Amino acid sequence: MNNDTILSVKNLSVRYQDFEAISNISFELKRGDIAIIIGPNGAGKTTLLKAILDLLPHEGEVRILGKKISEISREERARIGYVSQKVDIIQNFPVTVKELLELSIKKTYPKSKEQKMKIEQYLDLLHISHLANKAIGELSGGQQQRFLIARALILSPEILLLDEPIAGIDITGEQTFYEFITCMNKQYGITTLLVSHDVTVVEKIASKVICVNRTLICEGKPDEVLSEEKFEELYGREASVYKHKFCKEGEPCEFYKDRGDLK
Amino acid sequence: MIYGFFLRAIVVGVISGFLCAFIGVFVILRKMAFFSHAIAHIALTGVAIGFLVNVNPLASALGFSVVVGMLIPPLIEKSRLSVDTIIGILLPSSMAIGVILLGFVKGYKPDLLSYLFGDILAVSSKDLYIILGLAVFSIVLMYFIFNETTIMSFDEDWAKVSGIRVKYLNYLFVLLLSLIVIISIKIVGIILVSALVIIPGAAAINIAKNLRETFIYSILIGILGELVGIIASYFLNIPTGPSIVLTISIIFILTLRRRK
Repeated sequence: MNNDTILSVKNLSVRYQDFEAISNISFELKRGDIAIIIGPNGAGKTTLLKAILDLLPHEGEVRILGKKISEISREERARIGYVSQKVDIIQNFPVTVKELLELSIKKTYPKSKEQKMKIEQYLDLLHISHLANKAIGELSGGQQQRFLIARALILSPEILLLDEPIAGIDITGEQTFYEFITCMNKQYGITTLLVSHDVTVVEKIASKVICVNRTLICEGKPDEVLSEEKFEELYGREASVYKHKFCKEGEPCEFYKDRGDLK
Repeated sequence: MIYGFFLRAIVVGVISGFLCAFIGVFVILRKMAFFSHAIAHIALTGVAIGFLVNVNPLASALGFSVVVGMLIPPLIEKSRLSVDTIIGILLPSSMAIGVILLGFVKGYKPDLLSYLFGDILAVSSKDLYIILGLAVFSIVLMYFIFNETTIMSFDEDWAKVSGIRVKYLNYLFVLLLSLIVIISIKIVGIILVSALVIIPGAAAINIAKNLRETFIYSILIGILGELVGIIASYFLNIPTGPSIVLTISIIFILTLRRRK
């Protein structure tokens, strides 16, 4: 693991009793990478992300910022940002956006003036300043997702791990989100590892793709590793989404070529 | 000193109203309402052990509830069953053991009903000092775990990633909840104590706009419910525990009308 490596995963496996959810996965992320974990439903994408963060019992070795996660002090944890797929809270969860952000940064920014400035800055960045005093339980899915991202970014992490971050966000929000991730990466060099079920996102923003179907199918630069064969290996023979790339203008897509009615 | 017992009842009522209402907010946010109900019922076995080995039943109830309460999180982690199912197994099993053990206690057991339904007016000066001591310990513990517990109530995974020791915090929370529930058993009894924990917080969430207000309203409702309930029971000559529970239930219904 050289200085440029921010995350190193070696032979990572997760077992749920007799079931092996992921097996022997290894890859590395360099500083500044935007890596996307793709794979079909049940492939173990979320399991992989959770094992990396030590949220699940696992075998193998994970090093973030050069250390095993269990060795990273509470202060240093601020360098890791995490956005979960969804939070399981009661419907009328009464804590406001501002209150929860204050609690999140209290240790790093003990002075209330600093806290106020930081919170305003990040709420503004995510365009949710108007939600500051709203209870989290009252936010819509998309608003909640923006709040989760603000929370993950507010301590200026060096690496950001996101699990299906655009679930529940509308198309405009989705576009803005990808622009935002790219911008944060370019401006501040934030390394990003995100899980997505949406393969089209790979060509939009990824510098690296990690294909998982309970084991590692491929990893590397999307143009180099995402061949038709690998794609089939990942999603099965009936996979069609990526094949759209191979459609020629005016001709039926390969997947539909037997169906003249769809020309 | 006809008012001595009444004064003690008021002091214990205020303490218990405050503690239950405070922890109750977290119990609701963490979806642990059934857990607090279980802790109270598990205490019955502890009370029975106390009667059998001739120690203060409240002390044995506390010990037993804490031990069984601590077993619940690892059991949940290790089994494929949901929290509700695990508690649904532990609660009746513990009560069954408690009832069987009580059968071995020889002679008349006048105190038993007071543990089941509470008897705040029978709180002795010694009880008062024990409750005061436990309350001070609970408040100190609450102060230290407040921020982390709030973060954990929102997202346990996030709490773990930020370095909060969720496992230990869960144990501390169970310890705190057990302490507060046991303190309050003397007031409303094993059967009704979870109402003191759940209802003020639920009523507060109906009307509060943020976390701060939720805690303030919950504590006010908890204390008000205890005071009105005790006074009503004294003047109307009705049982104190049910009188307190009915009072906070009425407050809860009123908050439904003002729901945001």
